[in-house]
Amino acid sequence: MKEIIISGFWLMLSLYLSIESYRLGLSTGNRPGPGFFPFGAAVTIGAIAGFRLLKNARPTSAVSSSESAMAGDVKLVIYVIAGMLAYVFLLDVLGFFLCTFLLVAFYSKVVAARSWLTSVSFAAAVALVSHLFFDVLLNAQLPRGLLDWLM
Amino acid sequence: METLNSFAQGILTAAAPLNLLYGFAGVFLGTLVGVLPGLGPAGAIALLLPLALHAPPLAYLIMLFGITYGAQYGGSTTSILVNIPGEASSVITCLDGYAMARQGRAGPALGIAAFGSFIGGTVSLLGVAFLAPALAEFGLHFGPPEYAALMLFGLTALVYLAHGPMDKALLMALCGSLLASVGLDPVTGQPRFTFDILVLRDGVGLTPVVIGLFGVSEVLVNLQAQAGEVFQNKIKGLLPTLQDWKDSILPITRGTVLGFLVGAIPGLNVVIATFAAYAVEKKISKHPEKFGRGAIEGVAAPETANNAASCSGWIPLLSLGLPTGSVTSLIFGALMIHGLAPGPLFIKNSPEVFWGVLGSMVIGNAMLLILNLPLIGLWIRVLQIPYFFLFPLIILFSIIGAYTASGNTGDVMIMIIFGVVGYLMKKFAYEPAPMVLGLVIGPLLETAIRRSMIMSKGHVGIFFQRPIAAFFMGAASLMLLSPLLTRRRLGHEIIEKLEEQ
Repeated sequence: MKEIIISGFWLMLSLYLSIESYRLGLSTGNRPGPGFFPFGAAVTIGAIAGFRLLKNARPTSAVSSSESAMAGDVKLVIYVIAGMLAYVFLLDVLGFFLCTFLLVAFYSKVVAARSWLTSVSFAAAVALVSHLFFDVLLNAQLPRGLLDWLM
Repeated sequence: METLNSFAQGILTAAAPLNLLYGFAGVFLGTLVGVLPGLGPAGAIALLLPLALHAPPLAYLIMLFGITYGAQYGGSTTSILVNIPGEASSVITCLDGYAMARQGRAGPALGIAAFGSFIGGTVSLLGVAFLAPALAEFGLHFGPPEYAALMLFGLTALVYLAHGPMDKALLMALCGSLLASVGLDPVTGQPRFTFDILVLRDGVGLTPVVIGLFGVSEVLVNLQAQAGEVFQNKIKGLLPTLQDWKDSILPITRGTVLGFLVGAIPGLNVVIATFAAYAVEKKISKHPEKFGRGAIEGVAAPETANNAASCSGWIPLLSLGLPTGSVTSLIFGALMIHGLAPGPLFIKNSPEVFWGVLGSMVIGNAMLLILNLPLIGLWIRVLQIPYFFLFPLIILFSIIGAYTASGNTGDVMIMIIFGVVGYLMKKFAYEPAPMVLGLVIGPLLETAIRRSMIMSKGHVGIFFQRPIAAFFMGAASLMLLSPLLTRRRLGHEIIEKLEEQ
């Protein structure tokens, strides 16, 4: 069933990209236009998705490997992604040092379930070393945010 | 003679202090990522791509190449000691390498793997030195139709030899090509698929995409993986005995030849070379029953073949500008960042880079041999670091890598998106390599196709009328259509065995 949904997704994507590519223009005289190459790719995606849809529509007793693909606890994955998203949104405001400290402390405490002491000291060490390495040594131009006055 | 002179000059160039330092950093990092399951050479190179803006071109490339063959060494260490292949190319080494370790012969197994890798890598480099310039000369006859056909052939070969179903790999390659279309059209300057988002006007960057697909997604998948058994015994006697050498010398020779040939063919990869080398040794052995129970030939042949293939695998990229996998695609990207266009003119226009990189690989292989045997204790300790301490660092380096590439958080968002995409791809058995290759060669392929169509005034027949283009198009069509007729793919057994591992 999941394969059929996925094939449906590919078909919809192909349809959308084909229309958009067509709008861009397939040719100008004898010259291929900006939409020519993406149109070809999008139509081929649609053809493959159609083929997969037909293949998976046949009844089969074998359990697809993707049936259990999402099984298991995905909480850790969500936490890791949430941490990265928060980092992106806070980077310009809080700066590299504070964001790094908060991210590593969050991962150590929430994802790795370490003690507060371990999490905070590990996060402080990583933030300090990475600041010294990337910001001071490599001059990587990372945002300083709230601590601009200190650095 | 001229080739040997250039090769010697390349070794001298690579021996300059700065190049040596970068080379050392490359092989050290390569071994480290080879040892650590979960971060392969592609991920490490992806994380280091932003460094291209700051480092000298040759030294930087020497480091990246060092990572690729260093990872082959590192991968074998974990295969032998803990039965965890750090790299897919070391999967087959687990069979006899781990069996030898359990019999108390981890030292000779590690030793013969290191010597075999050194011999295979060095001999293969000599082959590259002679073959690549000759192939590049041939490539000078290529026009846009030949290039388009060659790139289509390379893409098809990667799809054909993908681990999973071909249709899934083809979908990924097409998605990569579509991603490459994002941004301003190279001919008309018209925005394509930018959705009025500023960061997309310059296109989807290679760096955030590959960091997401290879770095972040690996972390997301590995967080649920369990740690393997850690090797606790002391390792004694790293040097193989005379009998070990007698048993291994012919497998090393055959592994070198086979690895070189397999690696040089676009599409065939290091993994296939190792399985083929193992299969050959088992087939011709007088004692095939010993294989899988600690036969040193079962370590020597595949470990030699993987380094030989890893070196000869650069021939298509360096002579024709054809990347054949995720790692070669990343190196292709790194060369482009430095304005060094890979292709038939690369060796002619940038001889110091070509020969310097080749020379560095000879020195790097020697460095690995000297360094790795005494450092095995260190790699075992690295294996004992809990993953929960490693993953925040990998995520942090990924963010920094994506951010410093362009200095804006838009690229970090792209990295996160492709981290999630890569995670879902792994969960649903879609391979990232064809997508990366599609993204890298997409603009070149589109330009070559459009130029060809302009030459032919809109007729697609141009790809089938010129002999070289017709050959590549025929070979690509054969690869795409043959599974429909025969329901089998070349090397299918190897792919199945790999999946079983």
